[in-house]
Amino acid sequence: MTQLPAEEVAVPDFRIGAAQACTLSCLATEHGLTLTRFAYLICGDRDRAEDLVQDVLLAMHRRFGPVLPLADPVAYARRAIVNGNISWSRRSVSREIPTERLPEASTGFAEPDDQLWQLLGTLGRRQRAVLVLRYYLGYPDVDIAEMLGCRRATVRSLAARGLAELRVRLSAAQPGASS
Amino acid sequence: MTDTELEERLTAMLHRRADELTGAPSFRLEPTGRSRHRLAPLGVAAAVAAVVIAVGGTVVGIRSIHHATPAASTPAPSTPAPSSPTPSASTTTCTVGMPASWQRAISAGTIPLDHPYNEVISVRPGTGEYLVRQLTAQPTPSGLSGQATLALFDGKNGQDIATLPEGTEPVADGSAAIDAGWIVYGVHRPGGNSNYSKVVLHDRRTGHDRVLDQAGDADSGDQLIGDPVLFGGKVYWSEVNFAQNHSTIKSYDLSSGVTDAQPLPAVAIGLLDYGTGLAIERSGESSTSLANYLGAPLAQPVLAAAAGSGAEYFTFDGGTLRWWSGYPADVLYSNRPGSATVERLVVPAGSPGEFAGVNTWPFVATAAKGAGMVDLRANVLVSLPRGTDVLAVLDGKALIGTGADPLNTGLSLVPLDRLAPAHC
Repeated sequence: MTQLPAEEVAVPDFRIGAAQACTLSCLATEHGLTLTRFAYLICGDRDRAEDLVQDVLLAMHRRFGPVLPLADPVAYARRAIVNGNISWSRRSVSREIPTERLPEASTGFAEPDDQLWQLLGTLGRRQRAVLVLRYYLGYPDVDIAEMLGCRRATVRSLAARGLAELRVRLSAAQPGASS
Repeated sequence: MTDTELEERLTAMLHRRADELTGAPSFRLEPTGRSRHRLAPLGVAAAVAAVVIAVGGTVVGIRSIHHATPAASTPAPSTPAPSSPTPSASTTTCTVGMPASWQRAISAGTIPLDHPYNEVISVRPGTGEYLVRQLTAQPTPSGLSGQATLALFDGKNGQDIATLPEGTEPVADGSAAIDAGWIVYGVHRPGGNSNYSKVVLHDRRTGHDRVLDQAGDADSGDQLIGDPVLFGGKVYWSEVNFAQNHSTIKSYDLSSGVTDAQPLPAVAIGLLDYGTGLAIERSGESSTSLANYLGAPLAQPVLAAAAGSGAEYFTFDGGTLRWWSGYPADVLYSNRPGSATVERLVVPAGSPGEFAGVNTWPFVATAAKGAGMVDLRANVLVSLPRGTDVLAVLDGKALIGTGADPLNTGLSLVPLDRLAPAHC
């Protein structure tokens, strides 16, 4: 498993008092599936999603220890997953690791959702993150901007461009469809 | 397929894909002793000062903010240089907490406000004027409730410019939306996928508003994007069609009322008024780039450096053009118009967020609330408490947002001399 250094998934400290703290173990057991699903949508690969969540949990342990003095550890972890995925793409391509699980077959689009899923993977990581945060988690732009550390105008541009590109590519893949 | 249909289809697909995962893997919760400091070289690079690169045959000085070495004094390379900047790094010297004296000064400078949420969205360089977007409630996934107000402040005194229709809010360029006679802004509806739906010009003398443009049918693919800007006696804005990789740069002459539309075979996601000229921010595959459009051009080496840096976005304020790369931002570049010198500031690891907004000397703040702010007087990264957000410096006073949740609930105006330079 490839491990992200703590610095690359670091996010601002939104600390709370110890009385409100939850544990890393609690985060992993109660929200592990939620975080893995989110990571899967963010990166598009199940193995990498698990690695991302694993790395984020280890980074949180290194930073905070087993007790998390955070007001919203799930939100913290989600932000770290987004940043970790983007950082991942910037590192060496030689980090491929052997796996027992074969990649998902690319045998065409069995159903429309598959096509949209594949096309989502063609977007830039920032565009994809914005669309996942907006349409999966239902975050308003102000929260997405806060999570990604960018301006609301940036979120608007990323979302508009991402949707426009999806729409164009869907139309291209379905010649009979209206644009 | 309409935008709404695409959004519904995307939402359904994401939930179906997520639901495919039905069991969480077993996670290891403690490290096993691996090294965690792969980014340490950033710190090693702290002392490096100046390098020279050649871009397109022209020498560009990229210097540390620690050493104000003129570009002209640095030797030209004797061998061909890479076509994109790969300078050695400079960095801030340390990270410190916000001085207690600052907190006292911020409290003393509180501006009286009559709305619960207040966002500074534009400043007028060289004056004490700024625009504030005032909301009665924070935006939610379903949109914005209540009516938003656009207010113009001069120092601590504000006056309403417009009350917008229910569910919409004003957007404006960070430093090119106000002049002595006019204010230009866009009308945006949070929750939708469009950028903004109207370009509005406000006459400060008469108080009248004029709608200069409206976004077309969503299915047309045409979108108003970026923010409208005031430059050289005209209002400029961009209409983009992503599908056709095409833009139209539109303008309105403030004196004659004549409108114009110039086609552009590229996606212009923004217009940048950098004081002596107007540039187009073009969207590329992985980064954006600048192209001269009007007025005194940016120096070609600067354009080349911006293009080669992997810049994400650009801002202009306080006489300085800035852009940044990496995500979260790890490098901030800045340049004064007409200069071939590009300053490069490496942001310490663990300081995520774009260096954005309406920041002016001597501060550069991140857009992420509480993430930090560089005090350029001492090159120190000041870790701001959550809820404090340095926005701009106007007329010798720092404009500071307070109570971020995530929108600022309060504002404070503090004379710069009350904010002593932070020290390590």
